[in-house]
Amino acid sequence: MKFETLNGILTFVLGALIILSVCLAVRMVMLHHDLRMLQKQATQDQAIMMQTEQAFNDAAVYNQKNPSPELTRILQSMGPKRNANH
Amino acid sequence: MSDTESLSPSRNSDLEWQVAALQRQVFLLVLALVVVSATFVFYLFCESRFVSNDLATIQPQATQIIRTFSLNAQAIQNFRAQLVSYGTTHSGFQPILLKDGLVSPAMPPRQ
Repeated sequence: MKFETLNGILTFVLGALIILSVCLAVRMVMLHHDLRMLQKQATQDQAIMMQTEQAFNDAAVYNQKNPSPELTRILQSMGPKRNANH
Repeated sequence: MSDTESLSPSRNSDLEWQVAALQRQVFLLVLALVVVSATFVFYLFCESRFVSNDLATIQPQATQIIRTFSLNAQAIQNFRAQLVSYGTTHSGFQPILLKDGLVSPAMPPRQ
């Protein structure tokens, strides 16, 4: 009788722990997913912005050596937005 | 003659001993399973807290970067397209496009 009572209590505790572990596992999977998506998106966007800024700087240097009205217009169109981001 | 009358007292005590041993074994196994499950739950709880803290730390900066990019995405795309278009008509500018990765090396220069 003693073992039956103890087994019943332990079985209840075990069931509660299993439910808790399932909930925590689902929560952890969702958190990992959000973290990965955020990191991936931010990394991609930052890479594109850095690449564009590098292209802007290189184009500005090229325009100083080989002045071109068309290239100057292109650089000026990006100039205000670039200053706003810094 | 019934089945119960055929069991000797010694056999009864053996069976009782085996039943008690099985009950103890089941109790110990369930106890061990509870300990293992509690350890696993504790691990999941700690890990989820660490990941939650990491997400809270990274989220503001990443959100800012994503928002900045989304606000200027069209301008960035237009600028890159204009540079590539300028490079197709000015061969001296193409090495810069290749260096910055705006065009692939397989792009043939326009004569």
